[in-house]
Amino acid sequence: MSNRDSALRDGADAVRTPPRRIRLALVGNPNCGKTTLFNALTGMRQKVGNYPGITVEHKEGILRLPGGETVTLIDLPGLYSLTPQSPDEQVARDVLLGYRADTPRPDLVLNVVDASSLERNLYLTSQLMDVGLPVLIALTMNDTAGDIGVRVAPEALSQSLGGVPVVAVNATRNAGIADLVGAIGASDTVAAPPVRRWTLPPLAEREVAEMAHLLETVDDVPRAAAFSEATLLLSLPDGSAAQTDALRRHSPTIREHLAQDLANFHADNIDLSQAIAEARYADVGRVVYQSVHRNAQTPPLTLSDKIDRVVLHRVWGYVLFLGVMGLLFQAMFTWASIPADAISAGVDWLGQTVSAAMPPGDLRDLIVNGAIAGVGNTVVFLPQILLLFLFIGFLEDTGYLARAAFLMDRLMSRVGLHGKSFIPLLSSYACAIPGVMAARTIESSRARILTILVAPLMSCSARIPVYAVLIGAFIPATSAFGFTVAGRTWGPSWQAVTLFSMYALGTVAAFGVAALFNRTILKSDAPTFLLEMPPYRLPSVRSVVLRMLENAWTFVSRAGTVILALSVVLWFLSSYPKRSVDTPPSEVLRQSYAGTLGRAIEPVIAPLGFDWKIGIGLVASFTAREVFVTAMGTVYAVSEDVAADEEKQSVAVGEKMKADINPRTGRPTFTPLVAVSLMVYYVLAMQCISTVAVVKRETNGWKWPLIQIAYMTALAWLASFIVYQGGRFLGFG
Amino acid sequence: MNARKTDLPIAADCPTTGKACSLDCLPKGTIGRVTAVAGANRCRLMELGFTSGTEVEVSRRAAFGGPLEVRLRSYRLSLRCEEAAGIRVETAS
Ligand SMILES: Nc1nc2c(ncn2[C@@H]2O[C@H](COP(=O)(O)OP(=O)(O)OP(=O)(O)O)[C@@H](O)[C@H]2O)c(=O)[nH]1
Repeated sequence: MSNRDSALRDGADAVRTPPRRIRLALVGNPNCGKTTLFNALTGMRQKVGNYPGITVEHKEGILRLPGGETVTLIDLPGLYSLTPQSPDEQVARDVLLGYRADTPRPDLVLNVVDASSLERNLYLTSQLMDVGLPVLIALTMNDTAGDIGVRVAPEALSQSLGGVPVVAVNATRNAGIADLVGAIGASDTVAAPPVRRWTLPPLAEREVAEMAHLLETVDDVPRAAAFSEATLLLSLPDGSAAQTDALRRHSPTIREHLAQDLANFHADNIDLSQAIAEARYADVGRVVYQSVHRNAQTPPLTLSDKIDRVVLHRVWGYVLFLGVMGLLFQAMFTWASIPADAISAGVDWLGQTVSAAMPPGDLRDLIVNGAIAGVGNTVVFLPQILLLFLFIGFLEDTGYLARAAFLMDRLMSRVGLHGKSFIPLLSSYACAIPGVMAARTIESSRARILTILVAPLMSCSARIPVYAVLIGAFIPATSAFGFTVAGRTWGPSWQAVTLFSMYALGTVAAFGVAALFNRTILKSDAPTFLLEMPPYRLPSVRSVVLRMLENAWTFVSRAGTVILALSVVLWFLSSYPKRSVDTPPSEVLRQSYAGTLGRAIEPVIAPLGFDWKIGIGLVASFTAREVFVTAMGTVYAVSEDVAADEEKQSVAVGEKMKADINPRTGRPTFTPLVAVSLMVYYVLAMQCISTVAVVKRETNGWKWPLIQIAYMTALAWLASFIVYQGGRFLGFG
Repeated sequence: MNARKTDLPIAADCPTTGKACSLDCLPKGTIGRVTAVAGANRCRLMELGFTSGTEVEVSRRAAFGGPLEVRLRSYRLSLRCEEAAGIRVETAS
């Protein structure tokens, strides 16, 4: 091969540009069809994570253009505005302006616009056109718009927005996707961003221009972004946290200038945020006028209105709501337990099989009692999580979730919760883990944290075995009160009354604690309830299922690792230091670290009526509350063939506890009063590492789980103390 | 609660029409025209479309003094009475 040939080829290689890798940010109002579009564009090629340090989800996907180039899609959270008032909006704004070190600035913005509420959607568009990036619009919900007599002409819209490309799509039917992909490929990412078409009052306009110029020259803000940043700085309320936050990025010169400008505005009675909102909406009005055809014969009532006459009715609305919630509860409690039991059985079987196959020793114990049990502790929650998110997905996508929140908000807002807190709290009666995860649907961060904090107070199904042992052994089955009809007495037994009281106690405590926290540690955030009522829609099964799997996967991958680690730690505590092989299991547990710990805390729990054996039970049940029964079985050396049957074990443990005599006093160690005190403790205490792990993951840090453990333990101790000491004072037990 | 922090005089009627009140006072089915917005969520409310001159219809009220549902700019929004109290309107009749 001659030199010349190879030189030619090298030259050709150099000319062929490396494939472009466009970064495209997907932005739109909540509920505009953004996720559906994202899925249609990327298929399954996506990954979900969290922005470090905050709870905002970070989602990226890959789209391959027909020309071979690769586009990275960044799905930003759904938002109404780029003015940062919530973590979601802060992230979206920072990503678009290139302020986040972990996310390179996108080259292009794909704005998803809902044609059926065009005006409000175009407000965000108007803001996006200021951030200094080329914008492309995907127009969704054209069918819904048609239903309310509105037709948006894409070409006219494009023209009135100054040439921003507009593509009509319907992602649920895969319509228009090819055109959109074509438009993305054809987009010129180096083209000048769109030109602003609206103006402010002259004085404001001058100050903004001056500020933008300063930002550009002093702080090196790119020219295209300077206007957006200037308007933000000038319109944030003086002295607000948002202002302090925004100023952190800027030099003292800017700070001084800002103070001067704000003083000028104040003197001239100019409110920039109002002026901007009005100017933008005025321009949006023009765009809407130029691009929308309204059908003259618009039906006065849409289908959604007709449905809402029943669904939001003051009586039937609540009847329907109770029906839907009853179904949800039934599903979580009964149906989900079928696969959950199967999983438990499968994990047990796996443990036994591995036990049989491996030589006895530390490694086998670690694998069987640490690792397999830990994995079991994670996957056993999956049926409930999957089912709940399937349910929520349908409720959300049909539009019913917003209606349910509307109906329930009055009740929930009294204690600072949100209409959308209802479903998470209801699911927590089955299990707090899906409940805590379901709190994601709550937009207001204050109400969301509050919901997460109190959710574990709802009596979950893992407490039932504990209640069953104690009630079975100590609470008489005789009738509490009732009336006699035809020779038969009708009325609840003491056992039923006790069980009901435990559920009631948890519920009342949850609302009480919410009210308390609402007035104390969460006081600083303004409560909000601004909830869009979307029209009813037929949900797309694909997107509901996809979201369900995504949630389940985040649980397994993020919370699962923490659960596994904690399970191993707890296994270690309850089986070390090692004893000789012929030591009975009750002795091993007694002398283990957990046993030592259980005995060490005796002075602390003695005022509640608990002895060191219960102490061991409390320590052991930190893996999961139902472990209490097994742990007590081990402490009392219940024979192994009895322990194999759950029901027999429960009875046997109860009998042993009843028969336990305090050697010092010669009287029974446990009385009905102690049993009640212990149940109260189980109602209120945080004894579930899986919940701790999931709260950590959902709040993205250890702050809230630690606060939660602290307050729940204190509350449980105090309540049991009052029950036990009060009971003794009144002469019970 | 700080949502009620209003920098407008309470119950001041519009000097020209004599018919102004806040959005939460409007009965179901009436339409008001926004004159001013106050309160902790002022900025957000304006961005959601409650700018001066916008027509807002109170289309529904939840039972027991719960949230309102309003229609504006051809979409439906629900908000609490505390928030609606910060939105001053004149009745558009
Ligand atoms: N009729 C109709 N429905 C659509 C269209 N695009 C999406 N949907 C449906 O609208 C609902 C909401 O869509 P999503 O994609 O979840 O909306 P989103 O913008 O991601 O919403 P958030 O997750 O709340 O931000 C889903 O049930 C979709 O199936 C469309 O063009 N027409």
